[in-house]
Amino acid sequence: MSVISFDHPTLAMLRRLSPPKVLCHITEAPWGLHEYAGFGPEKVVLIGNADVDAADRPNLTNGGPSLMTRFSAVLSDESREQTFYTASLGRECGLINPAHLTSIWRNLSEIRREQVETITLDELLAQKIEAFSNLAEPNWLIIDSMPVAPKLEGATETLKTLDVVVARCLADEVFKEELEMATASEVLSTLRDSDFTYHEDLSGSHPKLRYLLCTRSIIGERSRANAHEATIARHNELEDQITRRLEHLDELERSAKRLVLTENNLKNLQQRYAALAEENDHLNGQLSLIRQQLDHALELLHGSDSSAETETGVTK
Amino acid sequence: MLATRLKDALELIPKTVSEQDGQDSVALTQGNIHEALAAARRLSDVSPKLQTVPVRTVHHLSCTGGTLVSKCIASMANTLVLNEVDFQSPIPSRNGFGNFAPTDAVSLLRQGDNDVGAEEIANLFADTVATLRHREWRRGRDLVLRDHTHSYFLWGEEVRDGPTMKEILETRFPVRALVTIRDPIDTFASIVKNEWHTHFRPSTFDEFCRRHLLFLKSYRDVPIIKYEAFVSQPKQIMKEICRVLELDYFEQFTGVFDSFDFSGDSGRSSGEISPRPRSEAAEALKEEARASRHYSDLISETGYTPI
Repeated sequence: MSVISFDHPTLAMLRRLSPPKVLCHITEAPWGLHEYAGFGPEKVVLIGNADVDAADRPNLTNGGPSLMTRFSAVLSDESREQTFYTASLGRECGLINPAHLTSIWRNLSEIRREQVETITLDELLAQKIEAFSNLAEPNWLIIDSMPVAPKLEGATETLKTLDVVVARCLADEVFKEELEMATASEVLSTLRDSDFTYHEDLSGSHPKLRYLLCTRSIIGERSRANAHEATIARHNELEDQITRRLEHLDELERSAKRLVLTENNLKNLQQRYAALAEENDHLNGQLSLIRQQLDHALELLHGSDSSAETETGVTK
Repeated sequence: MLATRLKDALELIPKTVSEQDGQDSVALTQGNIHEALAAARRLSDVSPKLQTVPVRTVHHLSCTGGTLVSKCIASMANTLVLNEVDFQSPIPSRNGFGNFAPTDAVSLLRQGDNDVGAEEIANLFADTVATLRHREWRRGRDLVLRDHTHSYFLWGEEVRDGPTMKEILETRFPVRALVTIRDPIDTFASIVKNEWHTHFRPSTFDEFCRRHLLFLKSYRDVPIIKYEAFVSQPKQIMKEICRVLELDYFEQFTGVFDSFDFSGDSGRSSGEISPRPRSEAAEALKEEARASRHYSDLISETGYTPI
């Protein structure tokens, strides 16, 4: 029997803003396709401590989901062995000892208890989505089974894909130490950490029980998006800086190599200069010899010319 | 006695006084002995050594590791490498501005004069090299021209007509030339990878081998260095290259050659000189190589092992 009225005006509005494509419903109460008739999720994933996983069942109800899948699992914040209590009231079956809930349900009693291996919602959905191609990550989550806070702690990845969360919890005035994880303040704290905003309580079946309606915070989303953009911008800036530094390093490396070349060129020029200077000295020596010989030849010529002039008496 | 002394003195003076002066030989006789004396004095100012300074040229087809070798040559002491030179190259400029080529004398000449001939371009090239050769000689640097051989042998419908760069330069200067080659299989695989095989028709391996043979024929008397030997023993082969080109060897070139940024760097990008495994593309040329008529001739000519 449904305790949530899908006709609630806020839910109706949210349904239009963020249509429930995949609704994940965690409950120990018996649910059927007809519960969702008129609300219109495309797919429903029911999770509870049923005996076996149910096969996909086609929708035979007008306005209901096209697919309902039930997975048998007890959800918590981690995979470990825990005590599962079967209570006289189906909805209160779970990891809370029914004896702790008698302040709410005076006649509630424990039928049996058993040790079960719990699993996180993230882990379960990851396994099932990989195994069932027609499944996808949920965008709506209803947690009808207390305590909710540990289940949310094991759903950090799933929370990222969710737009709407409805969580059943205890009003804080019935707080007991052993029920802390089932209280509204604990649940809201966990959801706020994941950028969810509390809107209102949906009508419930008991004044000490609350159905918290939370949606993804636009402000939180925006600030996260801004932070993401800022991170990207910073990343790009750092990348540019690294690129510029690498280019600068390349340039420095190239300059260092050019310096090696220049030093070698200088050394080589000095060697060439020394060789040329030596050759120049040798050539100068030869030229001096030539000049001496030519000067001597000129002197001889002048001497012979003078002799000729003296002999002939003719001056040029 | 006088005649003997003069003859001895005259033999010590080269017949040509100076290329820069543009003067013809000065015949020394007893009639112009004063001029001879002046010429001898000028010799003390202008060295005849420039006449013997060679221009070095390096020739290789594309994708043969030529850029690597050229960078290493540029790392030798006081060596200036002019990279990928071909004044007659038919390959259009890719600067994206049409004919805009304010620093390119050949393009400017061709734009302004429809009748400019290959010989005039060759002269312009030789004049330019003469200027550079003199400039570098004065600076104590050795000039090396890396020929863009691809323009001549691997571009167009047929291998280009006319003198090669080496032939043009040899009409004016002493030339020390070097050819480098690489296994034709690896070369052609790399050419295909760069899509440069479309530069010639037909774009087949056999045609490449035919043109490669023509390239080798054009440089028949030039020492050949194999790329594979160079990357296996870079220092030893570089010493040989320096011997051929008359360059001063620099031992540390392997650590600094990549500081040069040369065009034509089609393959290797790291600063390490080492052999590389044959590419899969080269292996895939096996069938085409077996069917190639010119490949076997090329193998015989180069001494490479057939694939």
